[in-house]
Amino acid sequence: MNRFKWYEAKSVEDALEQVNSTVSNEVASRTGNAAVFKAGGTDLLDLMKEGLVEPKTIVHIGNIPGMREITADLDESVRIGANVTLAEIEEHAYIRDRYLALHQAVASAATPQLRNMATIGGNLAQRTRCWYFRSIDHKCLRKGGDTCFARRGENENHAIMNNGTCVSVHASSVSTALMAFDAEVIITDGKGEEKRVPMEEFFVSPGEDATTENILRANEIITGVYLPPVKDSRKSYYIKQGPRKSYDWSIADVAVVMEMQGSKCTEARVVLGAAAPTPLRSRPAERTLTGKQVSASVAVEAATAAMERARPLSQNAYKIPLFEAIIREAIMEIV
Amino acid sequence: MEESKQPKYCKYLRAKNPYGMLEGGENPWMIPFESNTICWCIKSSGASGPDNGLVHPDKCVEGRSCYKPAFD
Amino acid sequence: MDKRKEIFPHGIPGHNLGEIEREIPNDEPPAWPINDKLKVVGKRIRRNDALAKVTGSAKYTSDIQLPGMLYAKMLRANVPHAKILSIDTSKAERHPGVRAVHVFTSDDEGSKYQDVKYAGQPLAGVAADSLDIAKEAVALIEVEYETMPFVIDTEEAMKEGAPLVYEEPIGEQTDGGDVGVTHDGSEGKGNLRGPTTSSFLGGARGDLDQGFSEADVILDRTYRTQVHTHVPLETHGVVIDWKPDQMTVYASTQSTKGVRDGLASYFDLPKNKVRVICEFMGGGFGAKHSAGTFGPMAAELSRKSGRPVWLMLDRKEEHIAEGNRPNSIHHLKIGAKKDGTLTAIQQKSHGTAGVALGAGVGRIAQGLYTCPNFSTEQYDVLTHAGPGAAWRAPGNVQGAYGLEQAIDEIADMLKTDPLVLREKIDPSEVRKVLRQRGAKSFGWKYRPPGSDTGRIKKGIGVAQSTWPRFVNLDSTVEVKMYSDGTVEVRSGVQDIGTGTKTILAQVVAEELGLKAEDITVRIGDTIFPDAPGSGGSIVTGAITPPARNAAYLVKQKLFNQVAPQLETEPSMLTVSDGMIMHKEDASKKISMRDALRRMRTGQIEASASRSDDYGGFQQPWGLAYGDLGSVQFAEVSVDTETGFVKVERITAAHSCGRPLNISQIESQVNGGVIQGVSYALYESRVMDNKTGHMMNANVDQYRMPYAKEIPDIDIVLVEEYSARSSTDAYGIGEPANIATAAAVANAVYNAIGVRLYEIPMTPASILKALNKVEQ
Repeated sequence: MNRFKWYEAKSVEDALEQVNSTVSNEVASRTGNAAVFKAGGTDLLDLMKEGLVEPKTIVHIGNIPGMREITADLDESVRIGANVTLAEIEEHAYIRDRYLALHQAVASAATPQLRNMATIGGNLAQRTRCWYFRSIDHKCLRKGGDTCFARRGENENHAIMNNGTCVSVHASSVSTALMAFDAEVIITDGKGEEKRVPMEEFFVSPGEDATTENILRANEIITGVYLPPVKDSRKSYYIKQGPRKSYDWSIADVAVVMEMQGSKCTEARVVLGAAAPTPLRSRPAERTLTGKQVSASVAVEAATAAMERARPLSQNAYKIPLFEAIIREAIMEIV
Repeated sequence: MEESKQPKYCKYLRAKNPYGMLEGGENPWMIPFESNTICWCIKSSGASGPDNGLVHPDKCVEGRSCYKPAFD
Repeated sequence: MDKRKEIFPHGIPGHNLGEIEREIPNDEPPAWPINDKLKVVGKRIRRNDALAKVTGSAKYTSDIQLPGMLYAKMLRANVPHAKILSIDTSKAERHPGVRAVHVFTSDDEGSKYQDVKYAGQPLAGVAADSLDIAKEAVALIEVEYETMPFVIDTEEAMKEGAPLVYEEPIGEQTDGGDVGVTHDGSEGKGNLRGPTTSSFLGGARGDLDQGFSEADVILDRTYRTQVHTHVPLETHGVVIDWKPDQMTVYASTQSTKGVRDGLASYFDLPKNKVRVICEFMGGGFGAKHSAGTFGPMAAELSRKSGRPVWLMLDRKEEHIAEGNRPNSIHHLKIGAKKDGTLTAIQQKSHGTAGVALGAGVGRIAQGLYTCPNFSTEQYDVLTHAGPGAAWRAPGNVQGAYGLEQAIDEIADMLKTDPLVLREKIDPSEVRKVLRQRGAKSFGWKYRPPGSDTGRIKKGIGVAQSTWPRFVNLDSTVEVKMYSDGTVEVRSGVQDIGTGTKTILAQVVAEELGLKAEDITVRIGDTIFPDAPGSGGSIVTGAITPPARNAAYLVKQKLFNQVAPQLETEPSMLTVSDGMIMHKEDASKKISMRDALRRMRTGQIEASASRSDDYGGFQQPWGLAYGDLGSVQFAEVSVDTETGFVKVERITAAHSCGRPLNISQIESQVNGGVIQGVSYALYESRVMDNKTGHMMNANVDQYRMPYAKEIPDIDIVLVEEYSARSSTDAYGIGEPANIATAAAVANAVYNAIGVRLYEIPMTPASILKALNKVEQ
């Protein structure tokens, strides 16, 4: 790991004044002169240890006042501050009661030790765990190179959908659940202006730009996540399948959120994690569920629909039956 | 293997048999080779000798460019 | 040497315990009774270094801090195959804080530098004021490569025309030619070496054709295993302080003696000028027997800088360059009669230890079962990958994975309970007891494969193993008793982490009538008497008899001084609970402490090694007798929709002669089972065939088991007395690891009714086996 300067940011404005780049920019362009954000550090330090990013200055945002709170608004929407740790979300009773799939996703992320450090903001902004991206010896598309090594290489963990360019999958399984609740990322810019960006617009597909995985620019910072209010009739479930149970990256995860009238689904969100380079809403699955009495056979139909567009690589066709199994299971857990 | 046969191997050849025992140098050569014996050259510290050739009791003998007799 | 006869316990308590007379050297102690009648040996004694380890006061190699110490980092090749045209270190040398730079050169007549044969091969090193500076400087070294074609995949490397790892013709071998027939029948050249057709058990036996012609059923299968790296908690490394009078080496090593002798040879130093110290050791699993490349590098940097040099590898270096368990493509053809009798075993295997040799898997098929007709051909396939190393029962774990599934398959063909089949074909008396007691504890009740219903299917499996009992006679221990009543044990032997330090205290305490905590054990330093490396599970059998023998001798010295004071003969004295007493007259006694206080000298000591095994060795060339058995039972559950396998529980039935410390033995078995489960389901080195790099050289995506992956482990320990030495004890480190993966594989088959033939068994491979994946 390179030697660096440490800056303790006192406010969002202070932090934004200090930084001059994003981790993504620096991985791709390697100016050696970057000042970048660090919250929990669980991703940044890994990237630094591999020599993928060598920031000159680390701007620590972990102690900025007011960024580590979970608050409910009068309309019962929830705002999670960017520095709230995954452990704190996991323990939050209101989130567990209203947003079960999010609770489940957070509780199955990483390990207790990592969840104590990792923040929700950092989780959204983290980079892919594709082993070619994480290797200093492979200048892949995501690092500004011209090759996706995984496409014809070791791709058992990789994307089965939207895999026309870079075939990596996004590392945030928490995003799978957030997207299913129509969450929005709260981003503050250098002028102190706040905007709310729907999850689907926050992530950038590699076809648009492979060197980044989200829309964040150097003069922007995630300050929180907005969760729209949910009624009691909105049911959810999340399943993550990793190779190991104790700790692993997802090889397939799914969040299902359904608005239920009795056993009838009136609105559905089905979001797949580790299926594509970004968390992916499966509209075919959602359409299959919407307006139907949800039964085992409907669950099978929805799972099949979700995999219709799957185009597996040489080593990951197993993900199709795996996704079908967990999608079915998640749907049936709700009804 | 008898003491008198040892000099045929290069002084820098070492082997570890699968039963935990080092062979070569001053240690006796017990059996010429087993399928789990690990061989290395002291000089190159690896399985490839100074001449880029494979390190092995059949190979690390007189006539090889990097060969050194065991007792000089 | 004068000898005398002694009666020893012999056999298995509760089964066939009896007595046997042995002739033993006069300077070795009388027979111990079985463990039930001992006070310290065979008990659950807390590790004598437990407190130091859990409180962090134990200093491992990477903790060593010396005045003026520098930190070193090595530069490693980032291409898998190349000639090196130049290495320019000038920028690194000018980097502020750099104190020494060393480049590995070849003194051969060819190129100045050795060729690169795998990505990660060390080329040069830097010692600097801090590790950060050393890393920065390493990045400033410029290497000009002329890259060459390479091959990573084992089967690609076997093909004719594959890029060669070693250019010169492989030539005629003592036991075969340079051309081998690959597993699929095609001829391979170049990167193949072998076949090896024999082991210490001998070579081929009987007549295969005859054997197969007598068979009622013939099984013909290929089993595959992955490359498995060691991942010890503590990485390889040294701290070397080269002073004019002595090179002092702090090493994380399984062999203090091996590192000393290796560095002495490399630098042409007398052995007494190299001192190697390893007081605490964070695991090695077979990969830490030599000084490696880092040893000579640290020594060169210390010599150049005149300062102590710290050189510990990082996790990535550990994975790519410091050893692995080779993979295997293991072909078995086995014939059996209807009653189960094996008539022929034909074995052929290929495996890659990267740029090195050692990928054979044949010994277990040769030795586990009685079969009159046997042949083996084991080939090494050279590839441009990091070298293999011994890995907890080398070759046997891969071998058992194949053989013990094959036996399971034959049981299936004969419609027999696989445990019953093993009863028929296994000649081992101790494994008979292990099967009985293990099956009872596990609750073994055979059920046909695939007979469980529902989404989650449960299955059970069994597998066995054998590991030879070896000892190393170059094992010496010194025991000192001081006039203040203290006792010290000294040996160069290292404690790899298994608890060697504690069993030495137990053995000496038992002999001296003291408690284990009364004994101070100083080991892991070559200024003490030589002792073997921690490999082959030989340490317990090699070092505890010398410890007991030395304690016995020092006790005799003390008796000689005490006897006149008690007005008796030394031979009439005995020890118990800290007292020296007359065997027949209870009034004649003195505390050990008082006796030591009255000695004429401030201390008395004795050194001892050990004799040949009592009753002689089985192998004419020495050092082997009998086998260490294990029978392991596994229960798994398989989610047939997600392909997720969970090992629910393992019953591990083991023998290791006279057990010395029950807690430590259980700890070894736990570790062996966990590594076996991990081998069956999780760990696998992933190489990129196109670039030659390891893709998961970390502990994030190189999947190690954590708490939820670990099954319930039930241990059945069988005492077995064979009257072979003064302690009659043997190791268990390696036996604990051999059978697990096969037992798990058999249980998975039993659960789903489909066999996978390859590990690790992952959701991907399970779903494929269940025909749920369309390719």
